[in-house]
Formats: sequence, structure tokens, C-alpha cells
Amino acid sequence: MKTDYQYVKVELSQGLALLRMDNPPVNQMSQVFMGELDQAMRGALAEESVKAIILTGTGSNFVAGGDVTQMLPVKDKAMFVERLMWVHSLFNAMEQGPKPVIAAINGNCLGGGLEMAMACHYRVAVKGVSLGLPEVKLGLLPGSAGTQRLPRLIGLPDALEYMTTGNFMKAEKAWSLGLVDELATAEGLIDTARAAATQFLKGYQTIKTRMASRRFDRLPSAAEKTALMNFVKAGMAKKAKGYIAPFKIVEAVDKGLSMDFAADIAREADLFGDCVVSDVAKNLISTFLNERAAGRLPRIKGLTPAKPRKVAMLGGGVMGSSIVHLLLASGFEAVLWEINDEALQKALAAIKKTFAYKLKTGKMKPEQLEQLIGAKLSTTTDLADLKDVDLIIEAVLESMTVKQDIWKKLEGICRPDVIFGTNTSALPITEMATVLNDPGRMIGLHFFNPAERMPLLEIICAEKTSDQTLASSVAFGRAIKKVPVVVNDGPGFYVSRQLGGLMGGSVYLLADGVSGEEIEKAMLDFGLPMGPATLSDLTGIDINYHVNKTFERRLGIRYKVHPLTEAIYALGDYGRKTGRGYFDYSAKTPVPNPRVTAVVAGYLKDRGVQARPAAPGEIVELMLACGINEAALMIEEGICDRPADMDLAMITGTGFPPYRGGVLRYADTWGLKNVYAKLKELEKKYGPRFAPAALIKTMAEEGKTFYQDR
Amino acid sequence: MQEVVITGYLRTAQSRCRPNDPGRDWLHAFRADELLAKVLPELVKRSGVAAEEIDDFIVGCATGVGEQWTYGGRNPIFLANLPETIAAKFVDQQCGSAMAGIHIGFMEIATGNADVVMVGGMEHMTRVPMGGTTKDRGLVSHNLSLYLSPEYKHWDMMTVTNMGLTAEKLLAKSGLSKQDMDAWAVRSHQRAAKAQAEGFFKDEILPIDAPQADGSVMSVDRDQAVRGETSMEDLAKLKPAFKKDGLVTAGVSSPLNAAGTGMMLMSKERAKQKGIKPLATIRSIGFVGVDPTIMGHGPVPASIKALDKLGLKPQDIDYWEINEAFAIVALNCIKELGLDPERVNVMGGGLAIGHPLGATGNRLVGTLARILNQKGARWGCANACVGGGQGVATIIEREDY
Repeated sequence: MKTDYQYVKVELSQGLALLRMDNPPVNQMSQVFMGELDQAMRGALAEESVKAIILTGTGSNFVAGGDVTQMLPVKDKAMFVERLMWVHSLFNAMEQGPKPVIAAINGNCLGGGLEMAMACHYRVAVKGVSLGLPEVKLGLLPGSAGTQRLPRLIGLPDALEYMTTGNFMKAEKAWSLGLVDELATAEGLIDTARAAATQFLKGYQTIKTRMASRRFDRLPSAAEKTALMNFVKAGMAKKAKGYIAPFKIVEAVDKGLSMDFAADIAREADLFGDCVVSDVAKNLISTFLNERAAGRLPRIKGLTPAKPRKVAMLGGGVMGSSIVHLLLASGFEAVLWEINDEALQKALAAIKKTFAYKLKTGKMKPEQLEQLIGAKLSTTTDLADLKDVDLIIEAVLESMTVKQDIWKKLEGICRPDVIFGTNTSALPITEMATVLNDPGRMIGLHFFNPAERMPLLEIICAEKTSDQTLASSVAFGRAIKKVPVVVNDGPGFYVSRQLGGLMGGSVYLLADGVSGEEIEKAMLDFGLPMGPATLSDLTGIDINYHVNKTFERRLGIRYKVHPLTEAIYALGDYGRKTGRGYFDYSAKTPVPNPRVTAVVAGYLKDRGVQARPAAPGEIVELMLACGINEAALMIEEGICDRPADMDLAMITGTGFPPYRGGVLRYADTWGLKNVYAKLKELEKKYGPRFAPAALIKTMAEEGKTFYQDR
Repeated sequence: MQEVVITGYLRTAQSRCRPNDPGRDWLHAFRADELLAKVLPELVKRSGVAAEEIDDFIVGCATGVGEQWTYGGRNPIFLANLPETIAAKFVDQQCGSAMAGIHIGFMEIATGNADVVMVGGMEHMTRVPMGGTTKDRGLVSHNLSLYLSPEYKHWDMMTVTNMGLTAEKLLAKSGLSKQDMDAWAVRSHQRAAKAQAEGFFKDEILPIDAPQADGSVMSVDRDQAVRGETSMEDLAKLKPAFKKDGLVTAGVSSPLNAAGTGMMLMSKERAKQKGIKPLATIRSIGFVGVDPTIMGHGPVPASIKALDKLGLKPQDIDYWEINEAFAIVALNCIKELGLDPERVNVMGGGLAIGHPLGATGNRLVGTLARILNQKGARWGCANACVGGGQGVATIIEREDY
């Protein structure tokens, strides 16, 4: 048999063929690699001297999954399904024998990798490695018989749980579920696999009883299946709204797991095809790829980022304490600076409070927290103590003079290579940096609350921020496991201004007689985590008002605060913190605040506007048109230029529905021509807030899209 | 001592199990506990007792692992939506499990500790097979020392755990031939097919609408393994199933089956009060241990034990139900006890009707009671061999109630 392949290392000894998959970096199932594996596997199955086959991977991966980039351009479902059946043919050939195939799972065994392992007759895994079927997270289903083999191996309830959440399991859990037959150490893996192969050759194990496709003993009875399916479907209708794949997975098992395995996998392939060609999958795959590419800017390519070890946190308020938590959890040494001892004590208590959830759920023991804080966190009220830190993050009072004063002092204390990162959410960073001799060391590190949980880090380049500062900041973002999205300085940077644009249209609808509840509902149904009124109540109507006033002052007439917004602000009901805003929070469930309702009614009456119903489509189109326009304006202004990063920032920073792909992806799907026409119509009706950006006009005329990938 | 009577017997049809080709099992879409739970409410209804009167529920099953684990017998009660006040227990005496349930129920009532006891039996050999995945996954795991340590060598576990090998050994000891076994198997199928055709089983089988592999729904109302056309020629062609030079083939071994079976026991006094006409009265029981490598011998001493208690001789018994785990088990019993074959398994036996291990006891005693009634006979003895080397027997008497 042929043994020299590029991606599969073949070793033959004593009747055993060891196939070592070696397709760096993660043994992704690319077409070329799978072609070779197919040849090598079929070669070993046919070779007479080979009695058993061991399949393993290289480094920290068995197989980490399929090549999702191959799925983005797929438009022809039938052709895709046909190609998929080729993979089935290989997996089925492995499973059908006549030789035992042992999976020696050396590392990540995910997606197609796990499906491959499930087509083997016996699975040995190294303790601690991850197994799972994460396809659902990319809008796909496990399409290489995963939906049919996993329930047969571990039972339907657990299989559904893992397939519809995409969660990974450790090898130990996989063993207890029966997915993995034996655990091994990394060193002992191949020997254990060899011993397993011997068991088959001696007849203690038989291929027939080990074929997942023939397993029946863990499948539910008809009545159990009906009961479980009804339960799952009921729960999912709400939980997975907007997504496709979870429903397709349920359909695959509901109609599948029959006595006809071939029909079951054909159906699964068909359902997989439905997923692959859907916008939802393409949006989720893009987001996944965008996450990997985030922060990889041409301007910092080739630079070696600094590796900070000791990080100073200035200010221990809500954001400061939350960032300290993040630093400690990510293995950094943290120094907390506060203005005086009293503030320090308060901050320490606040930091401990951020760990409450971990303590409550038993993920951390109180003594572990004490030990962590004792070993890794120091405090000071003296800036001079910060002379040996590697990075400074500042979250003190939002006052230009206070901040500038501190930075100026620190420039005399810290090493020149120490980056000054400010967490300001409103002040111009370019201006802030003017007090420094080296403004190149200053950058915006904008965290989102709560910093230990929100995945986005918005990195803001001021005018003079150096490439080195940026490169190190991006690397730091990755080190604290955030998605680093880089934008340029400007009011509200990217995320806040984009969110303002996305929500900013609602007041025009209100002033046109559309009910606030309808707006909330339409945006919730669109997939946003909350509507404009709820969000406003959460962030504070007064805060929003001041931000809007800043926009008005700095960006001109387009951003003039709407008279109805002025009137609502004047009421003094600022949201949750005052007990009522757009909603009244005194009862268990919030109800519309009658005071705001009265203000709106008065406004409408004064202007002779009739209350009117509005279709959800009208609401969504107005809101999204305004949001898309805002994005285009920011691109024009040079705030940002990477649609993928912009969309990613909205998804990870504000909960924009991932299955919609982001604001700009939505624009592409809607069509720039339509966006432009809608904006023209809205401009005519509601004024300059909706005047189309020049970029939108050009793109509409030239038939362009923000993305070039589909 | 209270007298104990049988006032009800009902079961599902016994489907033919195929763990390696599940779709061909008519009842593959049901778990064993579901089959049983379908039978129980109807059994209660037909027995004429109120469910609230039932003191105890004893469920027998030979492989109470995986989905056949019953939560101490409670799950079948829950699935049948019967009153929570019914106590429950799970009994495993392997192939004697349901008969052990009858024995315990008999003793509970006889000693005055209960008045009404319901006995269940369940086994699904497609879904929870003997060996195969059940063994592979460690759901059933014999202690390895029994196989490997010298101190246990005398047990000969390789034979003890392979029923076919115990049958081969019994055959050799009995001096009977392959032809004897084949002839008995043909007889069993023919009798069962005839009884089926004449509708004898209609009153003991509760039809069940069962989803089939092809998506259709079948009303399963007859035992799937009965093949009236089986001939000596067909059986002669079969190869030995358990050892190369053996004589025991699949044709003279009971098939794999799935079923739920139920029986209602009452004190004669309570039945009388309620005006219920019993099927029969349980007169004595017998249970013994024998050499596990010839477990098929078990019914002989078990029956003798039960007969001795009544001062009866084997020939005093009008009809016998001997479980045909293998043809040789019945033939050996006939030979050793000197029975008239025409009095044995007159409606066919386990080779044809099937042997869903732990559920079989109810079928043996229940069918026997119905035979006594049909024939107007008085004494009946049901017995069974038990894997691991045991025998169980139950003697019943039909009276004028």
C-alpha cells in the first residue's frame, strides 16, 4: 500500500497501520487532506497484512473540524449535498470494516473530527482533551452523521444537549457518557490503542457490536422520543428564535434514528444543505472568521508586541473593579490605584463582589479568592508606586483635567515603553494625549460592562497613537481573551455611536404616533436583546441625553436632539436608577411610565399628529436604515474602515443578533439600493437625521456591497 | 394460612427480538416497561379488583439494567398511572423471575400479609440484549475472578454463562438425540400455530398498536416467533449454534423475545367476597438450585419438591407447562419424571411462543390455568429452568368456585 502522503503519516508494524493525520495547524478537514486520508484509509483496509488500523492526530489536535471557509460561497445545495455524501462514504467504509479502526484521540476532537471518531469502532482519548459538535454555533448541524451516531452512542437527551448548544465535553465526561471507551495519558495513548486493537483481533471485541450505526440500545422508545421531542421543541421555539440549525438538528433526530441508517444520513445531509445555504449560517461563519481576524491590521503586521505582566488599574469603580477581576482571572499581576484609602477599601469590596457568581456556583472557593487577591493584587494611593508596571489602564472620573493631570504625572514615573490606556467612553483621546511628551503611548482601551464577561475590547487609536502601542494593545486584548476591535478616535468611538444610530430613529417614530411598545416589540423580534426604550432606561436617559448633546455640538445639525427627546428628558425620570424612565419599575413587571406617555400624548396633540399603528417591517427598516447610515458616515469620517470588525464589535459589544451578521452585513443583504431609497424617503419625511451618507449613495449607484466575500 | 387464587392473567404478544436488526422486531419501538404498563391497567380491569385494593406489585425481569431498571418496581406503576399506594418490588431470578414474583405473592397472601398482589414480568431482548452491547458497555459484568481464579475453576463459568453449552451438556447426559429435539420443536410450533389459528391465545393477549420500521402501525396481537410450517427437514439443515461439534441448533433453542406479562393473585376469601371467579388456586411452589452447567435439569427437582408438599406423584398432574428454553429441557423433564408427552405444552411451548426471560413465569402459569379451564382438568404444574442453575415450579388446582 502507498504510505507516502503529505498530510497523513503512515506507519506499518506487526499487522497494525497507524495513520497519523498531520495537517497543521489544527488538522482541519480540508479537501486535499481528506482526499489523502481517504486513500490511506482505504489502502489500509485493503492491504492484507494490515489487521487493524489506528487513527490519530498530531500535536494538540485529533481533528479540530471542517473547513468552514469552504462553506461560505456555497449556493448550490444539491451539489454540496453530493460532495457531503463522499465523506459519508469514507466514514461508512471505515465503520463497515472488515478491520477494526481505533480512534486514538490525542487532542481536540471537534465537529467532523468527532464524527470521524464515531465512525471508528473504539475510542481511546487522552485525559483532558475536548470533544464536541460545535457546528450549531456556526449555523450548521453535524453533517457527517453526527446527528445519527452521537444519540446512538450516548443516548438522545445528552446528544441533543451537546448538539444544540455546541458545548464541548472533556474526555473524562465523554468516557462517562460512553462516547469514549478508554482514557489514556498522552504518552500511553498509542499503546492503549494498540491494546484495544488486540482485543478485537483476539475476538474479545467485535466490529459488529461496536458499529455506532448499528447501536440501538441507547435509543429511546417511540413514546419516550415523542415526549422528549415535544419538550425540546417547546423550549427551543423561544430559545433559538432566529436561528435555523437547532431546529434542523431536532428534525434530523426526530425523523432519523430509524432502522434505516442510510436514509437517516441522507436526510441529515439534506438538512445540512438547508443550513449551509442559509444567510444565518453564512453570517455566523463570517462572524467566527471575523473574530479570528479581528485586530490583525496591516499597520501592525510584523511588529513584536510587548508582553505586560504587571498592570496598573487607576480607579476602582464599576469598570475598574470589573477590569481588575479580568486581569486577575487572566493571570496578570494587578496594582490598583485609588485617590485615598477609603476609596481603595470600597474598590476592594467591589472587586470581591465581582467574584460573587464564581463563588456561588462553586467555580471558586472563598479561600482561593483570598489567595488570588493576596498573591496577585496590590493597592496604592501613590502614583509613584506604579513605576515598575508594564501597562496602565485608567478608569477614573470622566473629567479631561483630572485624567490629563494623572497622565502627566505618570509620564514622569513610568518607563517610556509603558502604554497608557484610557477606558474613557466620551472624552476625545487625541486631546487627552496632548499633555504627554510622547502622545504615541496613549490609546483607548474601551471595556464593556461587566468587563469580566463582555467579550469585546474596543481599541481606540488617537491621532498620534504609535503602531507599537497599537500592536501591544491588540496582543493584550487577545491575552485577556477579548475580541480586539480597532477603531479611530471620534465622539462615541465606534460602538456607542453605532448603537446611538441604530436606536436613534425610534424618537421619530414616537413623534409620528407609533406606540413605544410596538417599537420595543419589533426590535426584540428582530433579535436585539432589548428595544430602544429599555436600553435607554438601563443606560440612563440623562446620560444618553448628554451624549446626544455632545454629538449635536461636535457633529452638527444631523444630530440635533429631537424636541420630544428634550421633553422626555425634562421630566426628570431617567430610567431604572430613578425607578422610572420610559417604563415604571415599581411593580414586578415594568409597565409604560404614564408620565412619559402623557408627555408623548401632549406632544402629538400639540402638533395634531394622530396615534397610528405601524407594521414591524416599517419600524425595523427605519431603525436599521438609520443605523446603516451611521456606519457609513463613520467610514467616511475615518473612524473605522473594516466592515467585518464593525459588525463583530456590535455583535460582541451590544448583543446585535449574530445570525443577522451585523449592521453592514444586514445592509448587504437588504441591498444598498434599497437602503438608499429608504433613507431618501425618510429624509423627506423626517428631516436631515436620515439624509443618506455620500458613501451609501455611491455604493447604491455602483451596485457595491460592504463585504466582498459572497 | 389463606388460600391463594389466580384471578387474572394478561400479556402482550411476544415479539421476536433481533438486537442486530431491531427493525424486524414488531415491538422494537417500545421499552419493556412500556409494554408492561400497557398490560397492567387492563389486567386490573379484567380481574374485577379495584386498583386501590392491590397491596403489592412484584415485577420480574432477568436483565434489570439500563432501561429495564424499574426504580424498585415503581416505574411501571407510574407509567400505568396506577395508585401510588401499591407497594412494589423488583425480582431477579433470571428466567424464573416472574414465577418468583408469583411465589412471593403467593407467600405474602398465604401468610396473611396481603390480600391482593399483582405480578408483572418484562423483558425486551432487542433493546436490552443478553450479551452484546449490554455486556460490552459493562451493564452486565460478571466478576472476572469467577473465570480466572483457580479457586473458582470448578464452577466452569464459561459453560455456566452460556445457556447453549448447558443444553449440550444436558443433552449428552439425557441420552436423547438431535432427532428427539427436532421433533419436539416441530411439535411445539405446530401446536402453537394451531392454538393461534383457533384463537386460544386471544383472551390472554392484549393487542398493541406498534410503530414499525417502515413507518406503518401494526396491531400486534399474536406471538411473532411461531412458525407452523417448520419441518424436520428445515431443522436438520441448521448448524450447531453453541459449539462446533454440538447438536443444539437455533431451531431447538427458544428465540429472543420481548413482552410484558401480568397476573393478579388474591386470597380466595377476598375473591369470594367480591364475587370473582378465579382461574385456579395455587397449591404449592418449589424452587431449587442445581449444577449450573446443566441448569436445564432444574425443573425436575423443583417439580418434585412442589409435588411432595401435596403428596402428589408426577402422574397425578393433568397438564404441564414446561418452559422450552431448549427442547432438551422439556424432553429431559418428561423423561426423568416419566410424563405423558401428550400432557405437556399442549398449546405449544417456548420454542414457538417465545421465552422473554424474566417475563416468562406469568405466561407459563397463566397459560396453564387457562388450559385447565378449557380442558375442565384439575391439576397443573408449570416449571422452568433458570440460568445459573436453578429450577422453579408452581402447582395449581382448578376448583369449582
